[in-house]
Amino acid sequence: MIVTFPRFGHSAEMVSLMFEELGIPCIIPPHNDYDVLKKGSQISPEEICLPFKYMAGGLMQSYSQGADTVVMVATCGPCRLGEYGQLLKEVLDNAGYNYNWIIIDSPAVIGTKEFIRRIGAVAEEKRPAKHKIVNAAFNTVKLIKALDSLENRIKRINGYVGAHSSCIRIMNELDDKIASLKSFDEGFELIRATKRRIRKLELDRTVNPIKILIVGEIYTSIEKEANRKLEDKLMMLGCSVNRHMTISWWIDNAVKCAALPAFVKNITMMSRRAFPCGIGGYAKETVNKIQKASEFDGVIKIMPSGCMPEIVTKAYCENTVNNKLPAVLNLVYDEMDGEAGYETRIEAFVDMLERRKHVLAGN
Amino acid sequence: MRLGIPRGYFYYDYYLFIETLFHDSETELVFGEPNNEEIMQSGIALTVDEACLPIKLMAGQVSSLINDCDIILIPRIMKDLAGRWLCPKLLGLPELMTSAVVSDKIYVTEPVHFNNKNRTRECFWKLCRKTGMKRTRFNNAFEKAFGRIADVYAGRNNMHVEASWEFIPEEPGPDEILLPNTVNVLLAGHCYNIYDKFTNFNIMKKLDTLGIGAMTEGSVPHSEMEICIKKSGLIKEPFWEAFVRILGTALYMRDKVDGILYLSSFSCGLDAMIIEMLKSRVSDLPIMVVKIDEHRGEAGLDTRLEAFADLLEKRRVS
Repeated sequence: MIVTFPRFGHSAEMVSLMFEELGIPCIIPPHNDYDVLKKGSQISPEEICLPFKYMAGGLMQSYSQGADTVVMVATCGPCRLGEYGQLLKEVLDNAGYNYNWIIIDSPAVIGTKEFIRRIGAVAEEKRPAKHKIVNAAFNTVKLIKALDSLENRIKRINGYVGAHSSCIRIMNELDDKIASLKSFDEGFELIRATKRRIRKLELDRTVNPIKILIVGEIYTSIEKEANRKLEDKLMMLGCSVNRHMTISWWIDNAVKCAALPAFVKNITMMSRRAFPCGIGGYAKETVNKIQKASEFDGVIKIMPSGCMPEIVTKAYCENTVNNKLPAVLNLVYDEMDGEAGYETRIEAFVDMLERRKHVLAGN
Repeated sequence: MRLGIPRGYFYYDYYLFIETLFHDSETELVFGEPNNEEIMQSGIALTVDEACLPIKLMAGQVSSLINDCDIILIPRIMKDLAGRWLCPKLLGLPELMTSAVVSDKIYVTEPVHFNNKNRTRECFWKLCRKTGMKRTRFNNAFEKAFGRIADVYAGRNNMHVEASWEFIPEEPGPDEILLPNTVNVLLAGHCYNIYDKFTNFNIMKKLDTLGIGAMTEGSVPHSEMEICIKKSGLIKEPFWEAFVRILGTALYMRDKVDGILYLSSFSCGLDAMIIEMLKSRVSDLPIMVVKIDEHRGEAGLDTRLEAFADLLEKRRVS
C-alpha cells in the first residue's frame, strides 16, 4: 500500500514526513502548476471550484508514480469541500485511476468506532507503536506551526526591509528546502537557520509600509499557485502582508470545534454580529476578520470562481462597505491563466492605498 | 398585519408550513407575484454578479414586496427534516437579501433546524409573537403545520405538488389536439427551478406538446430516496438535502422513466456535483442538462427539447 493525499500547502510535505517516520510509504503529488490544473480540468466537471481541479490533477500524477491509496480528510459542513472525496473517487474511477479511498470523516457523523477504524486502516500493514504515532503527529503539528509563524514574520517585515527581493528570496529558498526535507530534525534546523538569516536583514522602522490582509477561501489562500503567487506580488510592491487562513489556524480551529462543548461555542457565536451560524466554508471567519481589520490599510478577499460561501460574504461586504471597513479588493480565481489582469488590479489597488495613506493623510 | 412571503426557495418547499401556521389568524399572507421580466431585472441590479438566477429573482421579489407589506419573512432554514444541510447560498440568504434590499421590514428568523422540533418551534414563535398571535393558538397551529411537513416527507400525502399547483399544464385550446404521452421523463433539479414557470419557460407545457410526460420528485416519498441513496454505495455520507432528493429520486425512478431532464441554474454549486454523480450512477438513461440563467434564449431551449424528444422516441421504437 502506497499512500497519497491531496496537496494542501506545506502540510503535504509535513504529513509525508509523518508517514515516513511511521514507516508507511507515501507519495506526495507534485507541486501545483499549470500542467496539474490542465490535467485536472480535463476530467473534472466544468462548474466545480478550482481546488477540486488541482486536487484531481495532483492525484492523477501521483497515480502514475505508483500510489494506490488516497487518504483524505472530509468534513460534513455544507460547503462543497466536504463532498470532494466522493466526487474525486467518481471522476478518477471513470478516468481509469482506480484508487482505494480512506475518507476520514468527522467522528460525529460516522461514529467514533468507525473513525478509529479508518485511521487504523491507514497504518494497517506496519502497525507502528502508539507512542510513535502520537510523537509523529505532535512533531508534524509543531513543524507546521513553526513554519507558518516564520512565514508570517517574513511577510510582515517585508515592508520594513529596503530591498524587498531579499525577503522573497528567503521565502523561495525556504520553499525549495522544504520540498527536500528528510526528517523532522532537519525541518526544525531549517527553521532555525532561516530565523538567523532574517535577523541579519536590516530593518528600517521609520518607514510606514502598506499593510494588507489577505482573507478568503482556505485552499486558494494556502496554495501559492492557486492564487497566482499573490503574496509574492504584494511583497514585490513593498507591502507588509498578513494572511488569515493558514494551516495552523485551521488545525487550531478544528481542535477548538471538536473539543469545546456546545454552550461555549454558542456564547462565542452570539457575540458576533454577522452570521449567527456557520454557513459553510469559512464565510463567518472571513467577515469577522474583515470587520476587525482596522489596523490594515486594505483587504484582499480571494475566492475560486463559484465558491458559494464566499459569494455570500462578498455581498455582505459590499453592503457594509460604508461602515468604516477598510478597502476590499475582490479577486476571483479560475483556471484561466491571464496573469496580467490580476497584476494590473493588484498594482492599482496598492497605488490607491499608498495615495490614501501618504498623500491624502499628509495634506 | 400583512406578512410578505417572497416567491423564492422556501415558498415551494415550505408553502404548506407557512400557510398552515397563519391559517385563520389576523395576519394576512401576501405572496409575491409570479416572477416576471421586471422582477428579474430589478433583482439583477440588486445582487452580486456571482449569485445564481434564483437568488437574483428572490432579491427582485423582496424589493417588489417591500412597499406592500409590514414584514417580509426570510426564514434562515439550515437543515431539513432529515437533518441535511441546505446549499450555502440559501443558508446565507438573509445576508444576501439584506445586503440587496436595505430595509427594516425584512424579518430574518433565527437559524431553523427542522430536524429539531423544539428549536424550530421557538424560532417561529418569535415571529408569531411579533404578529400578535397567542401562544396557545400558536402551539396548535405549529403542531398542525409541522405535521403536514412531516406527512409530505413520509409520503403520506403529496401536498408538496398541490402547493406548487402552478406547474400543471393548461387544458388544450379548441384548435389544439391532445396527444397521449408516449414517453416519460424525470424532471430533476431544485424545486425553485422545476416549479417556477418563468424560470423554466413553462417547460411542462412544452414537454406536454411534444408528447412527453414529466414526473417530478414530488411523488416520491423521502424514505424511498434515502433507501436508494444507501443502496448506491457512496463512500461518503451525503449531507445536502438537494443531493439526496435529486439523486435519490433519479435512482428510484430509473426504471419508470425513459430519460432525465435536469434543470440547473447557471453557476449552481451543488448541481456541479449532483450532475456528475447522476451521470456516473444513472448511466443507462439519456440525460439532458438545461442551464438556466438571466439571458433567457427560448428558441435554443425549444430546439434542444425537440432533439431530446426525437432521441427518446427513437430509443422507444428500437
